[in-house]
Amino acid sequence: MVADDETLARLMALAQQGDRNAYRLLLGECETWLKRYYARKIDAGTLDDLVQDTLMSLHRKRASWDSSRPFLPWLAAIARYRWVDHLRKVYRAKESELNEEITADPADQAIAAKIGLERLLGLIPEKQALAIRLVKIEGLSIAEASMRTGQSESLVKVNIHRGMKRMSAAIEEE
Amino acid sequence: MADRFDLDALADALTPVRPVNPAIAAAVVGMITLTGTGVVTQLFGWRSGMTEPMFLMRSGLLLIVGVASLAAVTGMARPAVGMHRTGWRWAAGACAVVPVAAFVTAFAGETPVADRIYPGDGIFCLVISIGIGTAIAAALTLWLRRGAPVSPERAGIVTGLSAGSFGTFAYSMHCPHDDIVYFGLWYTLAIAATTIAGRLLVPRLIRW
Repeated sequence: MVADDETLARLMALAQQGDRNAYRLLLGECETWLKRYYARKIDAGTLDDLVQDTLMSLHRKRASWDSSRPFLPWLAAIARYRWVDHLRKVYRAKESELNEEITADPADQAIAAKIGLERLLGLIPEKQALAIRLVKIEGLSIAEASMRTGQSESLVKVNIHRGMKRMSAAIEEE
Repeated sequence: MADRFDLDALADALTPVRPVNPAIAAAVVGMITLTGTGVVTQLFGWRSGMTEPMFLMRSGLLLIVGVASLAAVTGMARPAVGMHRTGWRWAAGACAVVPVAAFVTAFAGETPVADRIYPGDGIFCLVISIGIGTAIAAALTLWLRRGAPVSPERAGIVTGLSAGSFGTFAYSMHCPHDDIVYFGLWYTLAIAATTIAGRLLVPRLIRW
């Protein structure tokens, strides 16, 4: 189970002051949290890359966390930004599988409902979310997604493009 | 094991950081605005009629939009899921009444529009307002690069809006015109120009 927000916030505050032991602990906790956060929203082959990418962002942007605020909403904003960026760049290979073994910690459920990736997908129109889910997350081709949804191929592309744009603008929304 | 090594290496690379402080951005923007006002009024003089109702109203509106959008910019540098930053939209929406009112007034009045817009003064107003706005936008962009804006496009728009509002405010201390047709046109053009430039240029400079 991942440490609670209060503990993470305390570790991050120490890390901002240069405490390497606290930071090492924090990175380990964040790595576990991020693996659960991205579960089923990215294929297993690139999960580790995305987690490491997000941890690098946490490292580079650690000055942007405000110690008077909770830690996890900040980390979730960084994680959403990296995830949307990743989906934009990567066309997932069809043969790679979603990691079904990693599931969210039950203790995370309440917070995940507010700041999770599923929530972010829920903030955009249904058809756009479906196109993104099928092509960018499940790895279907445009033609297969078109068959599955009944949308034309160009409409699938348009829905992906618009959906990514909307998600990008909605990263801080819950 | 490689993963473990990476985390250890990252922890070893840690150096203390000073958290991003919105007060610094606000102070820098305030200083540039004051400096711009000082330079403009030293070179071209203060306007007369500092208590004219139209002057007070437009200055107040410019300040409100500038401050509301500055608050949004500084907030965007420190992201968090669940943050709502819509104040700048309401302020900008309220100010959008000015060009609409100017348009209606221009065509409802008896004086020809050409006699009310003073193109020479208007171009001067644009150059000065956009010039000061550019300095403010540059400072805000540099400051944003330390933060982690997760919506670079929106951050660009709000940066341009704030910079243009403060730049126009600084120029308005010299501006002798109180006709709504005049400032409804030229001030709106100045702010629109910095906002569009912010949307087009700032995102590529702050993306991370």
